[in-house]
Amino acid sequence: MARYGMVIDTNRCVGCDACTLACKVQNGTPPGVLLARVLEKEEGKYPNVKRTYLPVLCFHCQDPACVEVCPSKALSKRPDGIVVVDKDRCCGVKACMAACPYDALHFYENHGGYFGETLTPIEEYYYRRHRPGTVLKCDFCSERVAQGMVPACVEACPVSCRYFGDLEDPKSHVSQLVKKEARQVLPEAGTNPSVFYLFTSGGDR
Amino acid sequence: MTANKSAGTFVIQPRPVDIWGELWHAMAFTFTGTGSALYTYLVFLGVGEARGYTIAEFLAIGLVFLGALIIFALELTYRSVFLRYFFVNIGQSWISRGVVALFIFGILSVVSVLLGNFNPGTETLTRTLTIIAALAALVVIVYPSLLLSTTSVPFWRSRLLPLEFLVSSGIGGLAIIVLLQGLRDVAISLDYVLIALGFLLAANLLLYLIHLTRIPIGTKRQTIELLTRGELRSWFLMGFVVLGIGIPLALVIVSYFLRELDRSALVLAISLLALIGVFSQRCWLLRAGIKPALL
Repeated sequence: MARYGMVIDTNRCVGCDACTLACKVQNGTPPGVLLARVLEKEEGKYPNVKRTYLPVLCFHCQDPACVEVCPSKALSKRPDGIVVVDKDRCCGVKACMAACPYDALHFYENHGGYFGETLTPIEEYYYRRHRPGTVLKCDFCSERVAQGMVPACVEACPVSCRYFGDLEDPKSHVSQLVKKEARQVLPEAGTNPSVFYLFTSGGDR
Repeated sequence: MTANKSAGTFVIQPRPVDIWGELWHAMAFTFTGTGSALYTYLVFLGVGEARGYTIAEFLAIGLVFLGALIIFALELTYRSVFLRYFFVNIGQSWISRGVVALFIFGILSVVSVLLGNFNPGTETLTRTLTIIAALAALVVIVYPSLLLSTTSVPFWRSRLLPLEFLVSSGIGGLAIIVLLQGLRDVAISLDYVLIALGFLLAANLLLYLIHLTRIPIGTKRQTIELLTRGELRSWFLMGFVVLGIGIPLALVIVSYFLRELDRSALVLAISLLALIGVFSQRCWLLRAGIKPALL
């Protein structure tokens, strides 16, 4: 069985947020919910400053803390390693949000759309997928993956800093990167994430 | 980039966890913990047996019910979904285990009160039910701490946390016994209760001192700053350390030397301050969660 994972090359990331936008378009997430984000860190003082970009999404951990705390088993890990949420079982406890070390779960409070209370036709179409008062999370665009495509954030990245594939397949590009140099962030959280990073030159800008 | 900064969540640095930071969360956990501890004292120490079922027992059950009701009413978006599924992850989720314990406690404590009052001759059954209810009450006391310890917050992932919840709930339960002792509702020597309360107050302070020195490096500085100089300063320093532990502990010592005199006002002050301390502790503890930086 495949175990899907991602490797993100931080040395290539320019912080353009194309992945964030592609994710919003693919998943039709409401205001305030961004399943793919680009975190940033500024260090130093002018003129010796550096900025680090860290694109993040759900890390689809092998030992997901969110699945453990959920009382209603709304969160589960599929055999292919993708962690999914069942919106009909989510009761809005939010314990998963505290449990996740990567802030990958987002609570959907229905505050209308981007242009006020009245939704635009496209918002109406998209928001029907979501249930207010429950959590939303990245599912590696499982609908696309099922059709043999890569997640929208991977496809949209203009500098090709994201690699998606089967971590169990030793011939796949992601598993070779993982074997060679990619590493997990916050491994001490003990969740064994399936998203890895390349920091060959420190990820500085 | 400006949008990123205004959102406040797009940073790699340590981030506060505000999921259980509302006042009603602290109230709910104070009520369930204190009520459960009071019930446990009544059952295992027999302090409520002098006059059958007492105000203390009704108060203990009432507090747990009130706390559970607050959580149920305010925490959940879909209560019917929760009631349908809360037990399905009992093997992993401390929320599931806590709610099951709350149900067991709620049902058995009420049944034992009804049996004891309206069906004489069922002492063995009643006693068995109260003991099971008291064991469930112990789970009700510690389950929030075990839930916190499964999160990604280093400060909460401490083995001391369940002990701290036990001790602080024990303080709350004893403070109510002290109050009720004034009403002559519980059959126990006030001196014993005060000595036990003083011991628990000192133990509580000691536990937190150890806990704060053992926070992992990643968030230690931020947590200590939040508690001593940040927005939780009043809850931690004034509410918990000074009003909740320091002054009542001093008053317990004073009251020991004044035991020949009328100590009603002193005892009232000790118990009220101890309860304020328990509430303050829940307030700052639930807001002091900080997730470590990703890099």
